[in-house]
Amino acid sequence: MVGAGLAGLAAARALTAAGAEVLVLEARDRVGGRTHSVVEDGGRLIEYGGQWVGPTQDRALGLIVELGLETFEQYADGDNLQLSEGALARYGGAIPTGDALMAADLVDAMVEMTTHAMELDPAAPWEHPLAGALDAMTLESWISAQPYCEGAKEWIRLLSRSLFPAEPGEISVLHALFYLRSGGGPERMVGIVNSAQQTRITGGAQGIALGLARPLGDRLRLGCPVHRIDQTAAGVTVHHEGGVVTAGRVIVAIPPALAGRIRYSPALPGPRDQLTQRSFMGAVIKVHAWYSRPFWRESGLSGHATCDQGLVRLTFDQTHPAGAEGALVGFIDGGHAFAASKMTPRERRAAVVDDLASLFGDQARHPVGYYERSWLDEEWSRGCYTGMPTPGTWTALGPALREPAGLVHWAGTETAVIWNGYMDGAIRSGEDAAAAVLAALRKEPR
Amino acid sequence: MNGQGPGSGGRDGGGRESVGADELEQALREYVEKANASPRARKTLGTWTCRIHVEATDVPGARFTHVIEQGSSHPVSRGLAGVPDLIVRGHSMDLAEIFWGDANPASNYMQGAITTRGRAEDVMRLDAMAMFVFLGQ
Repeated sequence: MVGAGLAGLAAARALTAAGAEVLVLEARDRVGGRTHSVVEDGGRLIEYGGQWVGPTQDRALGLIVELGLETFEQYADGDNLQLSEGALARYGGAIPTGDALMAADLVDAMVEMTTHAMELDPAAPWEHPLAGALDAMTLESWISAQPYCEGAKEWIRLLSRSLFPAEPGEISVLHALFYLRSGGGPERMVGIVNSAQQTRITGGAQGIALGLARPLGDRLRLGCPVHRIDQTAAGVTVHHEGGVVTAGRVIVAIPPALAGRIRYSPALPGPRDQLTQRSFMGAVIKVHAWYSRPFWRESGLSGHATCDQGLVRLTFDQTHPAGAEGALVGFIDGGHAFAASKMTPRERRAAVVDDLASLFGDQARHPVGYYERSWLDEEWSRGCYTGMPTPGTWTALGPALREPAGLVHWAGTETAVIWNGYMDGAIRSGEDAAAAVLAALRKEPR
Repeated sequence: MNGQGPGSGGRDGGGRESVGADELEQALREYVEKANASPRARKTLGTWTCRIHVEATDVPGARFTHVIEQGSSHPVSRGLAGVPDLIVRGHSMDLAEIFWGDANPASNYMQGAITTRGRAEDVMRLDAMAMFVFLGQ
């Protein structure tokens, strides 16, 4: 197994349960991949990576129960905020309703996107009758061509940055529809209640990976980046910084963009390598501002806000129920993450605090703690939350995403059919890859 | 609230005010009329056909069938008729507040209080209809 994120660990668990001998190689000095939960400054649980689960994410929810992890509901009481064209408005639910015309446009867009997304087969989006045209058109082209008001268009762009996270000009309509289909539609993905942001894990989301990793014992090796995989008729040889491992099969459970940086012998089939060249990681910087108390709740605010200015365009209440302090989490997504990366940490913190103050008032100017993680700078992820194909890639190279290259199998949330891009998708992809390996091993002559 | 009282609904076991079946039916009929009169709903839901069962969890007999054909709602009927594409369940007061157009159907509270079972595209369209009525669009 290459990679001890949720996909690799879920695959290892399934293979071990089936009696296979497994070794997991992880480049980092920790497990969890794009989940990373750290207690900072004596008691503040910071979720630097993925943190939510929600309805229909059955594999993640199932593992949480199996591993005995406790959960709590994301705070959703009170009004959400929308800052649009300098005006601050309160609203309830997933869609801003301050401007009825804009809200109606957004409802139209949600119906349109849901309708088309549900026409797709998430296992093979390239088979959609209009796949070629949809994959040739960027989401931005689609947004620009719609008759919606500018406010609604800007909110859909925000949706793109926060969901994928990428600029709408970077991804195709086909990929956007696939992603929405994979998650069960925008209503399941946007918002809090009955949505993908509904539930958090009390001890941190990384607890899933830690729970999966513990039984592996010394079959898990940390600090072992893999740099070469050789295949022969007899099996695979995996070269990592700590040595060499031979195996019957290997599952590469890292994003396609990183899988393409490993050297393969023989070389990967052309379509698979081209696919890795055309897969890019989302850009996101996750920021946390900690306060002496969740003061926004006193004003009847949920802490969830969207806005069309500044770096932080999306926030949620990040307060942990075990503490008295309050916390807000913000996301700097897409092109804004590139802009923020050019700032010094001090400049970025000041800009983030300004953004929070424009939403929640002057009290937001005085955090007692500030924590951020730029996933762009993470060597072993190179972005977050997920990788995605450039326009045209689904239709030209889609089948190469999951097709094994000889004895090399692929996993990772990018390969998931259901909840692609999410923790649940990562787990499903690992279990699917493990099932494929077991099926292949059963067919091999003994 | 739009000024309409609970009628004969009384209170449920949890002490919450209920809306009687007759009043809920009337609210649903008015809701359907508003949806049929909404140009936005007619445009967006133009080809939608769906059979919906609506059930109040706190009022016995408060069960209704709402049929939408090519984006246009038929008159609501009492009882659960036919095989539904969607099942909507909730407290009579929550359902009534949506039918009256008083509550935001997309609010965090309503998203938790009302359960809707069916295909995502049907759920989305039903939510859209409720939103257009709420927004007066």
